[in-house]
Amino acid sequence: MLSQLAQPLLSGTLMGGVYGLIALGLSLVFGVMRVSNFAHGDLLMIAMYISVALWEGFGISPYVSIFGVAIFMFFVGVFIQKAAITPILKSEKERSPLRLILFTVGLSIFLQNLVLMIKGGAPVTATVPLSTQTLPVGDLIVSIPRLLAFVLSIVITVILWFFISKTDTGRAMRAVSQDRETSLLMGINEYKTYAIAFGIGTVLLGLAASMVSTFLYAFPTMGSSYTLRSYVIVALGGIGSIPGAMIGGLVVGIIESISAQFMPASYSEVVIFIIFILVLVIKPSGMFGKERK
Amino acid sequence: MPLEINNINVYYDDFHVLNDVSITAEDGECIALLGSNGAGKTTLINTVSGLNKTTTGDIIFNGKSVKDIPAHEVVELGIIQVPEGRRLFPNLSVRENLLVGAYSKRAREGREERMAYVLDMIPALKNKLSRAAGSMSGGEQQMCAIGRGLMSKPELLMMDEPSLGLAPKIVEEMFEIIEKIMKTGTSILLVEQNVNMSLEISKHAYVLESGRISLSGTAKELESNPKLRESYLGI
Ligand SMILES: Nc1ncnc2c1ncn2[C@@H]1O[C@H](COP(=O)(O)OP(=O)(O)OP(=O)(O)O)[C@@H](O)[C@H]1O
Ligand SMILES: [Mg+2]
Repeated sequence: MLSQLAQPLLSGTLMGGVYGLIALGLSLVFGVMRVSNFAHGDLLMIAMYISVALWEGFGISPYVSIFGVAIFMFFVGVFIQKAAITPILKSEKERSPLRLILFTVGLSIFLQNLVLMIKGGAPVTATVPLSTQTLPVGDLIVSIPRLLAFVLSIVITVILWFFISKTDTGRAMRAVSQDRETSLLMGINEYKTYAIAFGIGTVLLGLAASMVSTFLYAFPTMGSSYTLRSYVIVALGGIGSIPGAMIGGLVVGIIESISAQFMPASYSEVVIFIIFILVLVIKPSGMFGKERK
Repeated sequence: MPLEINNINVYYDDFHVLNDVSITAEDGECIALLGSNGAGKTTLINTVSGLNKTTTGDIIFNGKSVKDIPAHEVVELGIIQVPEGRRLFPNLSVRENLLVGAYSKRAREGREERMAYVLDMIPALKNKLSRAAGSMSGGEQQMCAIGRGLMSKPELLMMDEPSLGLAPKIVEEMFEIIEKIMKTGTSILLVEQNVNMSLEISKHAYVLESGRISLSGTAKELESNPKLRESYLGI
């Protein structure tokens, strides 16, 4: 029994680290500006398609294009923030979440159809030499690209944690998330801070997308399940908590892969959703989050 | 003449909060702005800070109009506010709150030396640097808020009811700090309910009543003004 669970536990952990990285961007954006981004998973999908296209079209491995994709995604994020979200935030005196929810849901549908139109609905992936490499550890089999994705996710998370807790910009982001009016009185440009937060969120998606594009398939409607997972992870870990997102990611990854042992894989989303509702009912600030006033 | 507020009018939607208000503050002096709850004192200093906008008149600081400058840029001119109710960043440590105070370009350079100077000015903060600001007592929080304001390198420091809700001993300590700040040549606009102590340390004072300046003059004149004594000193 135990040895039967060891393999899914391992795979779940590896994937969970990546889920945590993906959820971090959502957590950051929501923490800093209270905007729910329902296009989060779709932006991941876009970045994966770019990564695959660079491999198929130009033979550039995702492990090489990763920094280029990340930088490109930064500008995508800053553009979305400056062209749409900031104007919407500025146009309302009392910020109501409704129009932004409509916008991000609309963006999600737009991105899905854009990809469907250009590339069709068939799943794509970047099959690089490393894609099928494995490493035997005792009875277990470790997929090398997944291990790589996990390790990089942890490293990136630590770097982000350092950035948020130690730099002036990171401190400004935390200040804005706690009291935006007082932040202005400190000379912090709130909209610039928002753009940086959104840009960092999409950079993380670009990094994650490059790493998973070598072993996962991208398809136009994949985004919603990643958006959902990210919300569950943020609910578990607490809004704005970096270690919380990573732990939440691991929890979701492990539960997902273990439950797949006992039921059809498509049911695992149901399991995740049940956890989501339980967390919201039992401890809305997240299992690891601080209480918010 | 660092600050000159000329005939400003401020509205919250249809609600006319400030009605033709004018105030002048000279270099290095302390101006007291008195008035009962809801008179518009906070609205006034928020307008100087750029959080509210005036529809008329002008606000001149060191010869420059600031009324159309966004709040985060007003800070760069040295117009700094210690807001009502302290408004510290509760989850940041005291040290981090002080560092955020020095976030502006104006104050960022040499902020470590400035922090040493601020801690000298407000020694009570010295052994609390790593405490979460939100976990401190009201008095400690007020000291931290003043320290954060000083970190911004103020030329004009506007303090909104700093003595609110503090024990008498702490209030005295705080007024001593305000006097120390004045001695450094920083101009102060002090919003207070504590009329006696405010008049004692200021040169000029204004009384705001339902959005209008109803009384103004030197602190000495106002101290003996029967109308003020009646409405605020309860004598
Ligand atoms: N954001 C707002 N929207 C609408 N009305 C407001 C707003 N802020 C303040 N007011 C109103 O404007 C008036 C002036 O408020 P303000 O806070 O400036 O008074 P104050 O003199 O600072 O009072 P206090 O001594 O209680 O701090 C009050 O009647 C208040 O109810
Ligand atoms: Mg007030």
